[in-house]
Amino acid sequence: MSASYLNGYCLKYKLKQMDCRDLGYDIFLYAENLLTGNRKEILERHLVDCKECRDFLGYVKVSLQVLEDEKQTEANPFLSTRILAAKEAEEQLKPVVRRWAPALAFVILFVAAIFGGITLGKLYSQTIASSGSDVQEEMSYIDDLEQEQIETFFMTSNDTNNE
Amino acid sequence: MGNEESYKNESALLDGCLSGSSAAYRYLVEHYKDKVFRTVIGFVHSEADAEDITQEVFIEVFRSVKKFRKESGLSTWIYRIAVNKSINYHRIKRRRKIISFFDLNDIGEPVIKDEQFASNDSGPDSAIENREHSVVIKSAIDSLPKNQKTAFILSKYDNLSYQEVASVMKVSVSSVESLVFRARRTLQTKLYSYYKKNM
Repeated sequence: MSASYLNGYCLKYKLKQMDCRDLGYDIFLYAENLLTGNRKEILERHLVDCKECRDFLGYVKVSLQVLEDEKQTEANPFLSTRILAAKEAEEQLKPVVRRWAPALAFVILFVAAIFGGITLGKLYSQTIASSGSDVQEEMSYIDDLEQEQIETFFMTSNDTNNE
Repeated sequence: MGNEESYKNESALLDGCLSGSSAAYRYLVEHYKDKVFRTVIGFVHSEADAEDITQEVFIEVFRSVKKFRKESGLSTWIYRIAVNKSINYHRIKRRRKIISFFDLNDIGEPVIKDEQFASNDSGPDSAIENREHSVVIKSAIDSLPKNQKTAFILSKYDNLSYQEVASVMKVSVSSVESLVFRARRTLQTKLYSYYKKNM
């Protein structure tokens, strides 16, 4: 912590401009036993007078205790056995199979996708064939339009213009 | 084949693992499993998930030990794998959340065992309060940016020095100091705002 920061901090405290919010971080450090020197003294003096900060300190301590408890959690005693068993199972997989497994999976998926596409296509064409009369009719209209000779079209349009 | 005493030396342990000695592997697991588990639980807050990830970490170590270039210490390398696996877990968890969208009991808020609080002889109110504290602080940790979270967990849960954390994270010591400072600052702010709102 730089000296200038600390001087400003002490000055602020002396001038009683210190807000409880300014001390929040120090309270956190104090709860972790990481606060030392002047700042610790200042905070301790403040805590005597300020109930709100004292309560917040209590709250932070309980919260940090949760982390301490979690830190003390012990792994299952059979975890080592489990890990070593997993390693053996891994070793039993032949390296060649392991190496080619992704490529094989890709090929299987690719082939499945092609067959899926073909099957879906067949199903779709069967559906069209079974209910095809309406579609056929529509198609014939479209075809009629397409079969109109371009010369006939221009002739018709010229006649209309001349009129 | 070396004995357990010889494996206390890191390079002997590494040589044992490289030669495929099962005694070396057993020693490696016994020696590092608690450290890995502690790191992982700091990220995932669930014993069952932490055990699964610890297993994955060691499987990764066994797979990649031949590629280990000894640029860092063995423990640093193992910690690095543990951190990466734990961070990836969150991605997998998010995917699982989508899959089991309707099973809200399965995944969601950090799972906190009731026994954790049952040891306190205080009443159910206190247990609820403790549970709330637990959820608040763990959620605050989870919301930290990836680097801040990693630096904070490695220094807080594993008691690693800033120098060691810097080696694991491949950053400078001053960066670690700054990351831990910012992580504490964020946690304090979040706790303070929660405290102000609810107390």
